[in-house]
Amino acid sequence: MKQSRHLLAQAVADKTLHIKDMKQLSREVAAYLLHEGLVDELDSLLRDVIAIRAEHGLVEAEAVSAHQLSDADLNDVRAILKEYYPHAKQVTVHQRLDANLVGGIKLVMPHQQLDESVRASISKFKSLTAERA
Amino acid sequence: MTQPAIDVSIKELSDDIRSAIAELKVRPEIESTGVVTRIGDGVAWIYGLTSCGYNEMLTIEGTGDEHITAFAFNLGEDEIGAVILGDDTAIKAGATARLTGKVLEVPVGPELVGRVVNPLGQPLDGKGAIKASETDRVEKVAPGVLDRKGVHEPLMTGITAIDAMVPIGRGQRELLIGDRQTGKTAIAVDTMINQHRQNTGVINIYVAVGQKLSKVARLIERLKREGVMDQTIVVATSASDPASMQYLAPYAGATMGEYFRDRGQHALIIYDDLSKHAAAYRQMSLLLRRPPGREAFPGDVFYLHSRLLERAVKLSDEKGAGSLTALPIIETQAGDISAYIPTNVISITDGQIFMETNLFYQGIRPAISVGLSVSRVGGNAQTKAVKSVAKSLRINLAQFRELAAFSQFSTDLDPETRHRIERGQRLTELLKQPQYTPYSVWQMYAILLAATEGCFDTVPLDKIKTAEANLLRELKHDHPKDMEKVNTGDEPDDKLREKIVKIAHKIAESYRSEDKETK
Ligand SMILES: Nc1ncnc2c1ncn2[C@@H]1O[C@H](COP(=O)(O)OP(=O)(O)OP(=O)(O)O)[C@@H](O)[C@H]1O
Ligand SMILES: [Mg+2]
Repeated sequence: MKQSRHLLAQAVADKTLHIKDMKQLSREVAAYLLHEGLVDELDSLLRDVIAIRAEHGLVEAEAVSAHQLSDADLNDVRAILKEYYPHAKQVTVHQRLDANLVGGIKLVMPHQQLDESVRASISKFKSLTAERA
Repeated sequence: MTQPAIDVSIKELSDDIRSAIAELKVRPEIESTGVVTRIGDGVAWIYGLTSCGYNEMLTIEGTGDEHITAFAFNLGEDEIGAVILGDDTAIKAGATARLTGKVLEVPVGPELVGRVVNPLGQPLDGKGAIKASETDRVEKVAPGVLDRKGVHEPLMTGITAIDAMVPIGRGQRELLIGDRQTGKTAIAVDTMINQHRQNTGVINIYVAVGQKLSKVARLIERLKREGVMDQTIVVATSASDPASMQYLAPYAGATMGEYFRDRGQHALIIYDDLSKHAAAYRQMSLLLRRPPGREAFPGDVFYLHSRLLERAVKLSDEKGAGSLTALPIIETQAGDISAYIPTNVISITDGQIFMETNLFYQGIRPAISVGLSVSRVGGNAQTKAVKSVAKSLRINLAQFRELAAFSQFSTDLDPETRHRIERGQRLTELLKQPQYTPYSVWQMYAILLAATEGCFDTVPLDKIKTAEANLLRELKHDHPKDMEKVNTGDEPDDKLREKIVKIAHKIAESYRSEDKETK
């Protein structure tokens, strides 16, 4: 009987809220995923964990951009997150560079995604023109 | 309330998990460490030992410096249930558990003979460490069909009723079954004593499961007094021991017995008793939340005893021709042999000796029910001497018990019936045998010959036992050479046979004259 991913995410999220030893937790999760042959589900699992933690006011987001963000940019990002999550007790932003975005920023948040990248604008433009044609 | 760890980031966690996965993939031995999540009632639940095997030994860190041994009993998806062999209060949740890579083993060998040990082979007799040079697994697979041979050598109990009517052979599994206090243990003890008196060289292993400590102590005292301890191993657990120890005891004893079996020697193992063993297993299983079945026993309780009793076999000549004979004991409730555990064990064994409360209280001891007792394979192992005088014994006795019940309602019996009843009464008297007095082959032969030839038909019932004693005394004193010959087990020739019959008649005659005036 395999535990459903959601239950597992719930368990992991719970543990992250209460324990200090993240190394032990990662070992346990790793062992479990390996044993159950669920390694491929790690990304989805962690997305679920992030979502559950957000409900507890612990918001963790990823800011993806083509160029290094300035401190001002990051402050803007935090402000946006506060808007989206007014009850957040803690906001954490991870940066990731991705040249494919060309310019602008993509904000991956729990439950949602805000894509203000140049690439997204272009593809939006493309799809609009394609529909017209 | 615990504060949320502020610095926790799932991004980091994700990286950690990824590296842990990579690590685990290359270093599988990391799986050999787990964490105790719950503990109690002699059971520990351990998270993370997913590569653990059934019955594998673990060591768990105690609160002090000690390491406590446990063995895996329940293998779950991501946690295992382990049975703690020792003090469970020394273990706290969060303790580290390690796999040892070994399944449970006990010391084996001649060093154990004469000792009283617990199911881990640790001494209980205060005689110091057991310096056995070998150990062996507690759970072992029984020898296959090709490695076995038919049972053909006698394992004499010294109890006339058994050796004559339900003979047991070396390598046989014969169940001793009956209500409480019907003399089950007594038969087992006498059988052990007989191995000593007859110099059979058979090693006895007595496994006490969940009995009162005082009872076990008394039994050991008796074995010592009889000089039997020198060829005996006692594996003792009492009712106050954890269920896990009681559960292990029979398997540990079997392993100690197999040592001799596998070296061309002969051993006898007594499990006293498997009802308590099943109860210990039930308790353990309930603690480990295995789903219960009939009579709240877990579904695999059949396998519990079949895998144990299968280890008692007679080995083939290629395998050294050793043997392990098993006398498991089962306690019934109100004579009910159709309960779950009795039926199971009856179906596994090669026969049973059924003890009846009624007989016991009528003073017919050993209280063996002739009708319900059988030995399915022992016939080939019976000594020729005993066989030659035991042929019709069973039928005669069974008929007698039937007639005796019937005759209670009838005042006037035909002479034939009356004769059968009188013969039966005398047979019954002759088969009564006090404890701790196993008989040699010649004694059994003489008694049975006298009885079946009707030599004692004229002896009053209350004089039968003295007549028997006189017969044995005279034979022993006046014909020691002849009796030695009978004792070899070969069927005595007609001359010798006639000689004994004549002496028996002569002795019977002396009681007849005494009796004349009273009748
Ligand atoms: N052949 C016998 N002659 C006289 N007394 C006997 C005989 N066999 C057993 N007894 C006595 O009967 C009592 C019960 O015997 P024993 O302990 O062997 O029975 P048991 O069935 O093993 O009992 P339990 O159910 O308590 O284990 C003991 O006091 C014993 O001494
Ligand atoms: Mg008993």
